[in-house]
Amino acid sequence: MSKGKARRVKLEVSPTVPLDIDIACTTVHVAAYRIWHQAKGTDQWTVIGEGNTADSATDNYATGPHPAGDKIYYWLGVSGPPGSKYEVVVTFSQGGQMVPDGAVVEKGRVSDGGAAALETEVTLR
Amino acid sequence: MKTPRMPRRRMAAAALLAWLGGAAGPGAQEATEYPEAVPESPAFTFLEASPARIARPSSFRDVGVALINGIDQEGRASQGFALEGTGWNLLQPDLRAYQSDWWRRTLTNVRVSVGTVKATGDSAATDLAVGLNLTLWDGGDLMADRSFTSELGRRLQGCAPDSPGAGTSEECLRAARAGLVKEKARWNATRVGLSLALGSRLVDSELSDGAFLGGRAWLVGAMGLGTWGQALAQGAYTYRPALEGATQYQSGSGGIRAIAGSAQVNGFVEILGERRWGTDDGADDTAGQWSLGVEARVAKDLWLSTGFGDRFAAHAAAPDRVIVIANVRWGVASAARMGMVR
Repeated sequence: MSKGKARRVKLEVSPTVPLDIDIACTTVHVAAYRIWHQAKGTDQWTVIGEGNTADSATDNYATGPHPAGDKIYYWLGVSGPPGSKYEVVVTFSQGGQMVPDGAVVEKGRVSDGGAAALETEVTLR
Repeated sequence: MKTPRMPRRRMAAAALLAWLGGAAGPGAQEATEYPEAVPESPAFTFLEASPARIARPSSFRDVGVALINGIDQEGRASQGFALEGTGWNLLQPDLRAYQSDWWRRTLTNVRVSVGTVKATGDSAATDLAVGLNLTLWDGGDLMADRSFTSELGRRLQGCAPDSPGAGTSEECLRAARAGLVKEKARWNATRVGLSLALGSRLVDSELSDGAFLGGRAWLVGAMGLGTWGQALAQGAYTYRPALEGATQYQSGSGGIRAIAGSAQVNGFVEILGERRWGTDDGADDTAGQWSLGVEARVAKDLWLSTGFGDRFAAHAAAPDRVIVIANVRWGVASAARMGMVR
């Protein structure tokens, strides 16, 4: 999947409060992920978190605070029973409160081979 | 159901049968009843129907729509209706709940079937059956295995792109999963399955005017023997009350089977027995058989089987009474779920 095919989302966030990103798979699937940050006006991406939802490590990452114009980008690799529906919820919150429209729900169906990949670019404003 | 009496005989080796779905090994072509070991759709098995079109709703709303479609404009049950649903798409637990909670895992894998057929001997009446298939234990369910999902997550991580937009084909993810499934999947895992079916005869197809048509229950347990074999035990019970066009009886069957080989080819030996009692004429019948052979899987749900067996019957009834031979196919695992983890 190329960057041109990534889903695009915009979120209203406070530029003075750290941003919490939580990844949760709500179906009987395993989701691997990698999350990047890009400062406004630069081309460089920095990995701020990676892991998978089936291990014992937490799937919550704190980053920032970030000003408007910065971007968060994440890749998800989902696997489970072939042809089954999956749902992964990526939640953005600050100070313990979810930001407006901060629950980004990624839904779909894994292929007959039991896999699906998707990418989303989140612009902070 | 009456069948002609089967003479005692010995079947020669090289009797080759094409077996579809749930039929038996040697001797299947002579028997008239082929109950599944644990049918995935017990309602259809109870009705002895093979619906060409089955509604498979994936949401509660779709279930409602499908059920409404099974009723005609006059409020009567439609004949030829078939519906099958699983808890997988309806309940949708998360992975941790699925792995840690036996009830949620069992309900997620439950299969419900509902079917209607024209009643024998009365074209205005409809036979309705509702069936339930439960997997009480499945040692081969890889998504229930924490070590499998933990390793799967680690391998999927290896497919992450180095930078946003670098792209990751699904092939990497598929290969990661397929490789791990190949390592971990066990064809002879320990499993316990239960199926139930209840039927009703709807007079004039009226939903509010039904007579109990009987019920059926199947229970199968399978235990792995190393990496090379599997031992299975099966029991089934049937109750059919007296109804117009149908014989009253109760029957119980049981058997054991041993398999050695692989998921594709195996040798088997089995001993089966069935007893029928409570018939209208008071006759009790007992029958049994053994068989020994080799079977090979040539395609999904298509097995070729060869071997030999010996039927024996011990019955107290007169020679012209019913003998029912229990030819059973020992397919314990749900074919659909097995397909999900391959």
